Order: sequence, then C-alpha cells, then structure tokens
Amino acid sequence: MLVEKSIKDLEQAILNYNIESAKYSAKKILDEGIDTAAAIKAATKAIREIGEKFHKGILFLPHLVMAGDAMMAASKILEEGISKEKRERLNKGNIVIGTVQGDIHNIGKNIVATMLKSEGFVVYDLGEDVPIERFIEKAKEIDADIIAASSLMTMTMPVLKELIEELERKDLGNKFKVMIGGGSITQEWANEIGADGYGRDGPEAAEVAKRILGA
Amino acid sequence: MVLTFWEAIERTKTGPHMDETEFNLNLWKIVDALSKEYDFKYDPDMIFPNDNQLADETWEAGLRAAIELGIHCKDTKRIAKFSEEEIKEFLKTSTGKDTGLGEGGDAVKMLHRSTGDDIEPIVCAGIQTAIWSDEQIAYKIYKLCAKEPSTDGIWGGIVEKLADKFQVKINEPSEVYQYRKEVEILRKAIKDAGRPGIFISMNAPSAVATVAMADPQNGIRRTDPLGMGVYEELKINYEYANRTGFAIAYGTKSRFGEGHAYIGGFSGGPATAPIVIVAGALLSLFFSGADDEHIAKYGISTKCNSTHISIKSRAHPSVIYAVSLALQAISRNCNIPCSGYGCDHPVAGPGTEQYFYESAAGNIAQVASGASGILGGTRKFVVGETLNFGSPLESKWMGEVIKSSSGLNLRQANEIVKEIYPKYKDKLEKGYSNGFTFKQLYDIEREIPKPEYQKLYDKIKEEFEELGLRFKKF
Repeated sequence: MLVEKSIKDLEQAILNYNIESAKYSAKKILDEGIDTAAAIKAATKAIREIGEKFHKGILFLPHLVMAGDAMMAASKILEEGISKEKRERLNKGNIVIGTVQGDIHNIGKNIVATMLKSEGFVVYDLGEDVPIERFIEKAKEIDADIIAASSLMTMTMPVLKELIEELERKDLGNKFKVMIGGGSITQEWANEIGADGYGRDGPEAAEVAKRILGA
Repeated sequence: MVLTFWEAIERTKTGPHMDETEFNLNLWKIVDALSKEYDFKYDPDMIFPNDNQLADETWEAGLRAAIELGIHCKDTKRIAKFSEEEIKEFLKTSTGKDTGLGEGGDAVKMLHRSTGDDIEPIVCAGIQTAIWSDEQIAYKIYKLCAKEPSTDGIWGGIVEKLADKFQVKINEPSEVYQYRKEVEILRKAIKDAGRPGIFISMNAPSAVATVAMADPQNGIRRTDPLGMGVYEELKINYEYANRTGFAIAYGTKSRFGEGHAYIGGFSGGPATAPIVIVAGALLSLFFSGADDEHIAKYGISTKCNSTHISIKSRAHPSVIYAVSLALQAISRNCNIPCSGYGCDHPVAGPGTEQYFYESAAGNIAQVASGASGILGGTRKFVVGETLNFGSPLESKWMGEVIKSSSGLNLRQANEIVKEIYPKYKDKLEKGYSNGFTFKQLYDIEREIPKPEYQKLYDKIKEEFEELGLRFKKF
C-alpha cells in the first residue's frame, strides 16, 4: 500500500510538472527501500502520458519540458539506489544530438531530445550549428550508441550526408548509428545517404532509436 | 522619440541575465496566465475569429506580454526589456505606411489596412528557398514569376551547385558567391520581364552572404527589404541583427519587425499563440533599425508569423486562427502596416489541387484580417533534394487570390475558407503529394503551363468563383 502510494505520488508529481514534489517523492522511495526500478518505470509511464497528449496537441512543449525536468530530477535521486549494473541495464543507450552546422533551428531537435530522455536514453544535447567534428568528438567521449542530427533547411541537408561519410572515413561507421530528421528530410533521402534511422517527429524518433538499438 | 536600434542592442548586453530555457518557460507561464485572465478559448470549428472584442483583448494581452517579457538575446543570454511608453512611441510615430519597396514605376506603398479593407495588399511571390539545377532554369522561373502582373515583389532561391560541380554550402565561400550570383540573375530576370523596379526579397542563411548581395546596380537595392528583426518566439541573435546593422548603414528604406509563435511550442496553442505574435510584432520594432527620421521619411511596418511544430502546413486551422487573430488585433489598434506570410508552407506541392486550396485558405484569411502585405512567396518547403520544384503559375495564383480577396469582410472570407478546408484537412499530415517540377508543369520552350496544369488552374479558379471570390482582371 505504502509502495503504491509513494510511486503514485511520483507519477502525480511528473504529471503536475512539479520538480520539488518529484524530488521529494523520489527521496521517500529511496528511504522506504521501495524498488527503484519500478519507480522509474512508473515515472516513464507518466512522461509517456504527457508525450501522448503533446502529440495530440492537447499539451504543448512547455509541458513536455517541465514534466521531463521533473522526471530527470527524480531519476537522478532514484539512480543512487540502483546498482551500477542495473543502472546500465535501465539505460537504453547514449545519444549525442544536435542541429548541424549552418542551421540554427532547434525546436524539433529539442522535442526529440526530450522524448528520447523520457524513453530512458541518456542524451547529450550539443545545441545548434554543430560542426561534424564536434558530433564525432562527443560521441567518442561518451561512448555514444547513436548520433542524432537534424537539419531543417535544404541547404544544410548535405551536412548530414557528410557526417555519415566522415564516420566511414574515420572507420567509425559501425561504431555509431546515425539517426536524422528535420523539416526537409524524408525517409527516402535517409535511405539514400545510408542513415540508420529517420524520425518524422519526437515520438517516431524515440521509436526509431529503440528499434535501432533493439532496446 | 523612438528608441534606436543601437539602444536596443545595448539592452541585449546590459539587461537581466536569463537562460534560454528559463525564458521559454517564463514566456509560456505569462501567456498562459494572460489567456486565463481574458478567458481566451480556441474553437477549431471557427477557422478564424470575427470578434472585435477578442481582437482588442488580444492586442491588450500582447502589449502586456511584451512589457513583461522583453526579447531574449541568444548570444548574451540577457533580456532586453522595453516599457509601455517606449512601445507606444513607435505607434505614435508610425505614418501608416511603408514606402520603401521597389522603385520607379514598379515601386509600391504598403499601407495600413483595416479588416475587410478594399486596399489591395502587397504581394511578394516567387519561390522562396527553392533549389535550382542551373542558372538558366533559375533565370527562366524568375522571369516568368516577375511577369505576373498581380505580384509586386519576388523571392529567389539558390542554384544547388557552383559551376555544376561544387555543392553550395552555408557558412562557406560557396554560399557567399552563389547568393551574390543568384541575386544578379534575379535582377536580370526582372529587368527582362519588363519590371526592373519590383522589389526583391532574398535572405541568405548567413548575414555575410546576405550583405554580399547588396549592390544598387546588380543586387539588393536600398528599395529591397534586407534587415531581419527578431527570430522565433521573442528571441534575437546577433547573426540576424547583423543584417539590420548593415541595412542601416546601407540605407535600406523598408524597415520592419516580425512577431512569431510556434503552435504547440512555448507559445502554447492557438488560444495563447496570438498573444506571443502580437508581443513579438511590437518588440521587434526596436530591432527594425528605424528611427524617427527614417519613419517620417519611409515609414515602418511589422509582420505576423506562426508555424505549427509538427504540421508543416500554414493552412492548418490552428495557424490560420492564430495569425489572423494577431493581424486583426494589430490592424484594429494601431496604424502600423502589418503583413503576413499567407500560406508559404503548404504541405502539398505545386501542380496539385491541394496546393491551390492550402495557399488560398491562408491568404484569404490573412487579407480579410487586415494584412497589409502577404510576403512569403509560394512554396517554402522543398522536400528532399528534388530540384526545380514549382512553377510561375503558383505566383499567379497567389497574386490573383490575394488581390481579389481585398474587400472581403471577415464573415465572407470565413465562409470561403470553411468551404475549402474540408477539401484538404485529411491530407495535412499524410496522403499529400509533394508535387511536380517546373519541367513537369511547364512547356519550358514556350514559357507557358502545360495544358493539363492550366486546365487544373482554371478548374480551381472556377470553384473559387462559385464560392464567392470575384477575381479581378490583371
């Protein structure tokens, strides 16, 4: 009963976008010795609910960001109660994300980053106008599973192709999977340049990332 | 006296420090609270509102949001704040016109318009951000777009490869070179079309390439728009402001601001987004580069703009609603000419019925809502790497629909859009066609649309006539 209440409180805190309350519930879960993996699962369920409402246009980006922040704050505390091995099992993968050099549009990329985090990926957001080298350096540094790159403008689309070519040149083509997205990108073009995945929007990108990594 | 651009830039360096995410969330909290206070609700069946009280309250809420929020600078991570008196100084000083567009016999004046006004809005057509296979194709398309008498200005695109070999890339010498070449092609094309003075709208991705296009003889003239005030949801960055810095030094005559909101983004939904658009349209005036002397001589204008975060089409009812309401709010409460983008982002491509419907829906709604100009061109989203997308017939459609919609009141315009919307609503996210290329749609040798495309155009035009749109002769 106590277990159920504490987990329900955490879920509710995320659904209310309340960071302080989410942190309080997470601490309580730790103190009470409740299974933290079950708590993270419940938090993920809450964030998915927000994600679905966002996708349907019932909620907006600020709700997604605020709920994501509440979940991240709680997860940080809950992870203290999980063994390193179990933590690694819960992490669906490391992803480096950014908008390619020359393109400063970030809203789509931000939505994808939030959705990926809420699905259990560890996301390193490099921001906008990111050079190819920076993607690769960061991916190497954090031992990334996926590089997710976005381009809204047609004129920056070739950079995505160059990113894949550069990875091949550096013999890193098999080490990092590449996911792409953005306003002018299509699945056909993603196939043509040899990207491992393409996501039309946030929820689709999260599904594609899971599929690519078999998570 | 209005606050100058330089004073506004100074505030981006001295204003309160705030992280961008914090600013975004604060923006949402303030507009959400305002929307609750005024009890703003979105009714999707309405398409766009016809309610003077709602328009006036939207203006009031937008002004309050502008004062409370200010503009966030991405470079300094500071907020430039402006008082009500400083904003109202622009409203007092405005002459109700922007006279800086085009020259000679091709010059046009963008005037303040009321909702349902008889005054014809300014039309900037052409194919924005298109990618061309070669300079000859670009020249031909520009020339034929410029020949359309219902249009007043023209957008340009860019040739894909330099010397047919090297990919043109942003932030590289190829961008600077090719944009410069492109505007020269465009300048020649409009001259050959017999309209050498119509205004050109070309905005390269980088400030340096934009500035490189300036040239009174062969490039962007002082009578072509060049500056760019504010970037997305009350934010500015210096890469954009640099263009305005140059426009002031160059003597660009048309100075303008722009308010933008993402539907589904930090601006919220269609009930809250108009507040952000109005706030942005006002605050961006500080970054337009216009001072008292300039306004007295050439005037000043602003723009209303919105994008849905996941649906590309600007003919989505939520976008039509938000922009139309913001335009009505501005048109009714100040005399600054305010333009829109109409539907420069349809999902359906050229050569399709859906393209015509989407384009007309966005344009008719904004013209009736008091837009002084529709400036977005015909097709901004190019899908994938397909080259030479689009044709001059879309520019003709844009011009004819916009000019013929002047005089329609909000109720009449709403009735037409309500009839059109069901024709494309199920194909806004899936099932639409990317459309066709210039070669597929035109007899390039004879410079006329292929018979089947012309037939489609005539059929759609007849359909709109039956709905009550009286096409003017051009």
